[in-house]
Amino acid sequence: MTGPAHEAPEPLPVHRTRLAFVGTLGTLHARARGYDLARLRSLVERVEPDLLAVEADRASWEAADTTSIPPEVLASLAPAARLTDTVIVPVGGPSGREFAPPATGGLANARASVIRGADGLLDVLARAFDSPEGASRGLYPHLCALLCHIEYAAASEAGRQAWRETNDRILANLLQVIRSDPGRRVMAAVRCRRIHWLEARLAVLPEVELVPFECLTQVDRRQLPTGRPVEA
Amino acid sequence: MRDEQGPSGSVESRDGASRPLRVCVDGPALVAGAFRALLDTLPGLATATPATLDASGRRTPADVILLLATDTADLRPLQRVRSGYPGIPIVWTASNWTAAAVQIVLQAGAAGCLSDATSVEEFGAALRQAARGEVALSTDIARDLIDRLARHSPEPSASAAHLSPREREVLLLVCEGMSNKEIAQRLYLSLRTVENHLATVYAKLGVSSRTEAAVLAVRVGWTSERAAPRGLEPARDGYRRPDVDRNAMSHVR
Repeated sequence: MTGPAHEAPEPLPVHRTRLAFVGTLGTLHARARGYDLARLRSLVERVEPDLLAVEADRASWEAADTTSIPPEVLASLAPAARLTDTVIVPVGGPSGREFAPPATGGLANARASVIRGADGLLDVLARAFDSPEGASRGLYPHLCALLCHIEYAAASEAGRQAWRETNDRILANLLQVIRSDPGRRVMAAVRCRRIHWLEARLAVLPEVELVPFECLTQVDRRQLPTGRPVEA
Repeated sequence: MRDEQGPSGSVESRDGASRPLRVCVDGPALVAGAFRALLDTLPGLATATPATLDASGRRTPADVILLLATDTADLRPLQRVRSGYPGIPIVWTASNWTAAAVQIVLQAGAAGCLSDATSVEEFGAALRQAARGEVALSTDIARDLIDRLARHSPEPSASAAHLSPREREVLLLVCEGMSNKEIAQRLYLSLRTVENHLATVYAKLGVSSRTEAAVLAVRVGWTSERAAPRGLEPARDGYRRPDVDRNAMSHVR
């Protein structure tokens, strides 16, 4: 005789965090480049996310060392957050020379040329798609990801390592933000070439819902569940 | 002047004669009838109409009125009975009491609140209490009220233990005069999460404002544990650099 069928317990409800990426174009590797910061600022003011993760080194941010904080954060994102209820969270860290070409060895010059060429192409494309919308969706992110793969293949091991470490740190910090304050609307403003790398890893997490940044508006905020206080 | 109750619960009138406590039951006919039958079985109690003629022909009002009404949020039955029979203690019996409802009903003039978990003996005792001019509450209602009072007691040493580390951190920053936005930026939490933490702190401390919470924290001496300054904090004149104390930060990070 068999007993009553035991149903599998339902999974516990998860406060999903809505996360939207916004690509920034203020720097190409370590080089600053001309960039329309006003549009980025107006986007943050319009969307007004609960938390705005920015690609700034946390230690520099906490020490108020403005020399190490990207210009788009200082000139655009931080002022926008100050005018709204948005809280800025630095998720970056000190990074090495990402995609640095090999100094010696076979095909070193050719690989360096590939990286320079890809960088040049990225610069041209960034000028063509010079807006938060253009940098975050459509053709540009795909082209950016493709060029990023090419540069990764051509870079030295140290350059690849620096790229992976920086991305890993940003991912870990983003997860800390999401898990210490679940159910919130988070906008992550990172260099657009990182977006495809980060999205691929965050998309598989049940507590994260990747959305376009329009889905983080205030109207939508009222429909979201109230996040429970969580001990950090 | 009210008659004095004897040891059995019966009432000793001014002429020295002992008589049972007269209880008037007000409620739906069927339920009221059942209650009358029940009360008549208790020694020293007798059901009555609000104004009963005694043996000498005098109108003798009931000593206590037992009100049976299910909706404790609707005070109209209580007001009706109070206005009809002023001065007679009213004990309200229902099954769905909440602490807030008990408070409102007592403030509205009821002498007591009894739940349907009350035993027959407790019922009789409560009615006698009400007739003596005391507040009569069922044991379960009284226990619930005491629990709530204990939870909301601003007794600092007890309450401090109930604050989580995060709530305590938020409270300390409130004591430093920070706004909710500044606290959120300091702790890298959303504004709504800080508001939630503060609401919990208020509830646990039994206070209703940040000023009260801060005063309590200062009085108890919690403010000696300072939270570390951190980050570019939003200030009225732009982002300002806090005085970074690396030693103080070690316990926060």
